[in-house]
Amino acid sequence: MGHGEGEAQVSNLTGSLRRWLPSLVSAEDLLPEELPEYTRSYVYLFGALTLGSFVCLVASGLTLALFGPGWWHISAVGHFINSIHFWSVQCLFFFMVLHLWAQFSMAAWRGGRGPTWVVGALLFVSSIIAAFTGYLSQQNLDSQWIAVSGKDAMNAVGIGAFFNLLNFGQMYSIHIAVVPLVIGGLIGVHLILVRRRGLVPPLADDAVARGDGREG
Amino acid sequence: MAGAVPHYVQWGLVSITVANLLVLGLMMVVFAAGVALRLPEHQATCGPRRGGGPGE
Repeated sequence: MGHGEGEAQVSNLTGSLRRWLPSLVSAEDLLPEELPEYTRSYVYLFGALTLGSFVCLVASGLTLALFGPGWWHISAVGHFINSIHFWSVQCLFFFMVLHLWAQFSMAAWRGGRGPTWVVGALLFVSSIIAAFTGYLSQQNLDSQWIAVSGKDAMNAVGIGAFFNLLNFGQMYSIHIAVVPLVIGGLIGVHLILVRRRGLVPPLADDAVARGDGREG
Repeated sequence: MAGAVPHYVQWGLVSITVANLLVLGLMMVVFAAGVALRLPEHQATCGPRRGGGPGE
């Protein structure tokens, strides 16, 4: 049966989702061609550099997952991709902490941007879990040492039965499936929130806009 | 180098490897440079737009 113009609008999950999705962020705000003048500073690049590191991580991680530990420990190409994955993590945390310093120093939760800040904090914690399970998934002496040393800490806080560092399968599954899905989803929410509210202006600009900025 | 004994810097209660201290120093330098330096002017990407969403 077709949907004529005169028909009453049926409210179901699909229809609600269709109306809700475009209300999240407009296409103009999602993919802007122009950015505010105040973003012409390198300090606004740290977030994009963090995202770039994440893309490198996913690409190298997918390659490692395709071929497995036997490959990344033995073959020269495997060593190379493994190193790309490792250095992408270093870059991710390097730029993420710089992004955190930058956003903290300009009080980036202003103007209704609190949820963006909270999702960013969740991303930081999720990334630590991703890095930890990654170290445990290396399949070398380092990962065994970290697992045996860390298991007592997990038992001490009462989560050893659910998060067993000595269980390679569990740590590897969390690292390559659970955590990337959570982080990918949170990044999506973070970016949509950033686009909805716009990039946070410098504190001085906000003071001028409120009319309490000092001249000179 | 893997397996090498790390060098530590001791300062009261603070104990940190030289490698980590260098990374921290580099982060501070990059942060200061990021705050101080401006991106080159590019007419096509910078305009008066202030980000636009419902919160603006």
